[in-house]
Amino acid sequence: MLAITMPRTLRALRILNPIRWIHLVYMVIAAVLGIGSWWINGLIFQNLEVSSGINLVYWPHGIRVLTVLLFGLPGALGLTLAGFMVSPSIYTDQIWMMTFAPFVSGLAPYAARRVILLERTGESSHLELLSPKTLISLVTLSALLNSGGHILLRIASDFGDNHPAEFCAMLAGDLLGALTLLFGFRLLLLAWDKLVRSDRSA
Amino acid sequence: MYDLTAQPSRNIIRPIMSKDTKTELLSLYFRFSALTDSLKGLYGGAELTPDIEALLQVLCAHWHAGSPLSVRQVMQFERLGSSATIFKRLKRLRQMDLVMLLEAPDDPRKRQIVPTTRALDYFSSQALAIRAASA
Repeated sequence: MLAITMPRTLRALRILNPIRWIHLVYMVIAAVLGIGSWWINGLIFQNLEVSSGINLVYWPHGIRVLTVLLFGLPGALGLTLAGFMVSPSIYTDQIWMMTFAPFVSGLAPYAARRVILLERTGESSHLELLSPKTLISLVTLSALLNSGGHILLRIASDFGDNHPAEFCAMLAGDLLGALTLLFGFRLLLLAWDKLVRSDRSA
Repeated sequence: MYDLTAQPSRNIIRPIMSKDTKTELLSLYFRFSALTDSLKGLYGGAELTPDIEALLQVLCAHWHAGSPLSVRQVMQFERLGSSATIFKRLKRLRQMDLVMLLEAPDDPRKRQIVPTTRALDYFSSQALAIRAASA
């Protein structure tokens, strides 16, 4: 008599338990979100691109912050992975940028999370004390780290020409994009709440 | 041949969904919930409902009288709701940056609830509105 049990291949995955393979799922979700948001942003705001890899509205930065808040380090690693997938199409023939820019894009929001949440809330894993003010601070610091890191890489690899202007444009793009996304989500959530309330009262 | 009369679900699910995974998913839910709360409270979107405002008034009245309440004390105000409800509203007030917790000067283990400048600005604007209405 053969009962339906877990297939052997899946049973073998139990050796990965210390890694907690739910984290691998987080990584994949983060990577898909990273690539998807970059692609959609490129489609919508292509005209606002001031230089290769710099856009005046870059809402994938908001997605990165939210992803890192939800998924933590696995989320940041997933975003780095996504960066490696898209960077060859952005920085053609720029080995330095192709190699290190993904780390900056993926790890800048995580570093901001570590700094801001550790300072304000003791970095609880449930984020129960995450206030709107903290969220805005997190987005700002992440944008600073991201644009600063990218511009330092550009200087080191002698890529681009007007670096101060590129820094300002990238910072503005990251901030504007992330805030647009956050306030967009806020509107959606409030609209959803109203809908639920009207359904209940009906 | 598979024996469908055996109890399959436990055998399949238990190894895949370990206790750690369940705990992690629970944490993910709480993080998502905190994040949505925070997003809803972004500037201009914070809704000060009458229940939360009543709690804020009690907290500020005690603070103004020179005896700020501790978290434990405020949770005993039964007229404001159950202790769990009061705690939830207090959390909301903190997220809205209207109150903060400070160590009591006489006992560092005790934390007192103190209004922020944002809360004081809110009450000032209320007072101005009352004065304008009565003038």
